[in-house]
Amino acid sequence: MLKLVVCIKQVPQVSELPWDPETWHLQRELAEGMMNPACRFALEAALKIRDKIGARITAVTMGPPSAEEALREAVALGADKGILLTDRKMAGADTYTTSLTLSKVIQKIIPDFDLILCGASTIDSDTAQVGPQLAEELDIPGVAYVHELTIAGNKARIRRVADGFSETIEMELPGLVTINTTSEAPRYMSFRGFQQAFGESDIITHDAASLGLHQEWIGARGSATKIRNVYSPIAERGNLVLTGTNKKILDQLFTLFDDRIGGVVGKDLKTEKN
Amino acid sequence: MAKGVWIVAEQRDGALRKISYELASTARKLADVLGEDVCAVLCGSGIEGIAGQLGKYGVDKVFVADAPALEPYTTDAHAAAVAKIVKENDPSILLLGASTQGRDLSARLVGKLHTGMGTDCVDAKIVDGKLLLTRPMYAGKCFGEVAISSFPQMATLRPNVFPAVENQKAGEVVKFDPALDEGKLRTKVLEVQKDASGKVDLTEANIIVSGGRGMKGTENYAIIEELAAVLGATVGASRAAVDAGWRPQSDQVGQTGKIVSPNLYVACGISGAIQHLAGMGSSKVIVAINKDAEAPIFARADYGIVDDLFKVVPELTKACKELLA
Repeated sequence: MLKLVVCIKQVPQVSELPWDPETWHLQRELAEGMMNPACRFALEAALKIRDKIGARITAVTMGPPSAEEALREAVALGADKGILLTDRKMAGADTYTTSLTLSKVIQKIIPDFDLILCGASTIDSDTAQVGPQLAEELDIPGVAYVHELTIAGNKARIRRVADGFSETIEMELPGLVTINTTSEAPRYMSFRGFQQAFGESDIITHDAASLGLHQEWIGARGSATKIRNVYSPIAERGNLVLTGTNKKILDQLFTLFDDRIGGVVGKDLKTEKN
Repeated sequence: MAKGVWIVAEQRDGALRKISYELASTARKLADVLGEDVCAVLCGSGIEGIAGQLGKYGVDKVFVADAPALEPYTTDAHAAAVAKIVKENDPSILLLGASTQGRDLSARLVGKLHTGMGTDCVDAKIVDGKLLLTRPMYAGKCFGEVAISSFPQMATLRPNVFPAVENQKAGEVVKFDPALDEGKLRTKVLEVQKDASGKVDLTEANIIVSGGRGMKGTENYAIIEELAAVLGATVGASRAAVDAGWRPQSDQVGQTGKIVSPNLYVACGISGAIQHLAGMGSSKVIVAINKDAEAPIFARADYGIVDDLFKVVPELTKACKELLA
C-alpha cells in the first residue's frame, strides 16, 4: 500500500500574539497553538489520495511536547499514526537543521515512503524552506506550491501555480510536494476520529538520542542561521484619516501623494483648481 | 577564503525578471562595501544574449549555463547547475529572489551548500564585514535581524523592495557546463499555462488596487478594474474575495497568496486581517478605503478614507483620469 508522510507544524495563532509592553518581545507562549493552515491542506491532500486509491498516512512533527496536540488533530482527521520529535536540544533549529532532523526520523521509521507532503509555508516564520530542504536531504525530487495532485503508478501528476503562470509537472516517486492553501476548505474531524485521537491513538515520541543525532547537528547549536534581534515595526505609518467632502478628500490625497511619491504614476498629481 | 557577492538571476521566456536587477543592484552595494566583485549565475536555454544586460546593474561577471534541460525551470536541473558553479568559486554571499522560483531553488541550495539563509528579507547590509539581514516574522508583526555563521551567507530578497539602480560594469559573460546528470532530473514539466491577460505580475507591480469582502460581488469589481486601468495598476484581492469566488486565486494578496511591495497599494473594502497585512505591509504607500472606521487596515495605512467605497472609488477614478489626461 502507498505510504504517505505528512509533516505538520504547530504554530501560534499569530493574530493573537501579544507584545510584552516592556521589552517589545512577542510573548509566543501566551498564544494558543494550532495546526499550521497549509499543513492542514497537506494532510487533506494525503487524505484525498487515500480516499481514492488507499494509503497509510503517518504524520510527523517536531516541536515542544505540546505539539502532540497537532498530531492528535491529524489522527482525528484521519492519519493512521503520529510521530513526535521533541527534545530541548532541538530547540532553536533553523530550517536546514529542522529538515535534517526530519529526514533522520523518516529514514529510520518510514524508509520506504512513497510521498511526503508538507505545507507550502507556515504562518509564523513563513520561510517555505523546510519542505524543499527535506527533499534535498533525502535526495528525492520535489515540487513546491502544489495545488492539485494525483498518483498513477510510480509517478505523481502535479498542477502548481507560480508567479503569473501555472504548470503541470510529472514527478517520479518517491518524492515530496509542498501544498498551498486553497479556497476549498479541508474536512472537519468526525466524532469517531476525535474519539480515536484522544483515546489509545498510535503516537510515538523520539528525541535526539533515540535517533542517534549528534548535538552539533541539531537545534540552535547546529544552526548556521542566527536570529540576532527581534523588534517591532512601531509607528511606521502615518495613519492619517482624511475627512471632508469627497472632493476635499481627493484633493488632500493627491497633494499628499505628490509629496510622498510623485513619480508613482509618472505625473504631477497636485490639484491646483481650488 | 570565501570571496565575491553572487546572485542567481531569474529569467522567464528569455527575458530577465525585474528581481534580477534588484538582486544585482543590492549585490553591487554590498560588494562595494566589502571591496569584492559581483557575479551572477543565469540558467536557461537560448539565454546567452540577455546575460550581458546584468552588467548595466552592476554585475562584473555573468556565469551562464545554456542547455535545453534548463528550460522550463525545474528544481533538480537548476539546483544542480547553480550548486556546481557556486562550489567551484566559493563566494562569501549568495542572493536569490524570494519569488516562487527563488524560494524553492534557494532551499535546495542551502542543503547542497550546507549553509544558513535569511528568507524573504527586506533589508541587507554589511556590518563588521558580515551580512546582516532583516526579515519580517509572525505575519509582519515584528522584524528579525538574521546573521549567517557559514559560507556562502545566503538570503532571498523580497521582490519590489530593493531598488534597481543602473551602474554600468563589465558584465563579462562566461559560459559554464552545468554537467547535468539526466538520471537525476526526476521532474518533467508537461505543460505550462501562461496567464493570457497580459497584466503585470502582482509581485512586480508599481501600483496595486485591491478589493475585499466589501466589494460584495464579482460584478462590482468593474469599479476596481476601471481605477486600475486609469492608474496602470494591477488588480488584487483579499482572501475573503477569493474564497467567495469573486476573483481567481492568482489575484490573492496575503500570506497565503502573493506577497507584494508596490509603490502604491489601494485597499478597497478590505478590513485588514493579519494575513492580508503580512502580504502587503511592505508597500511603500498604503491607502485604505473602508466604511468601517474600526477596520484594522487603517492602523497600517498611510492614508485612510472612511466612507463607502462605491462612492469614493468612482470619484477617485474620475479625478485620476482628469489629472492624468
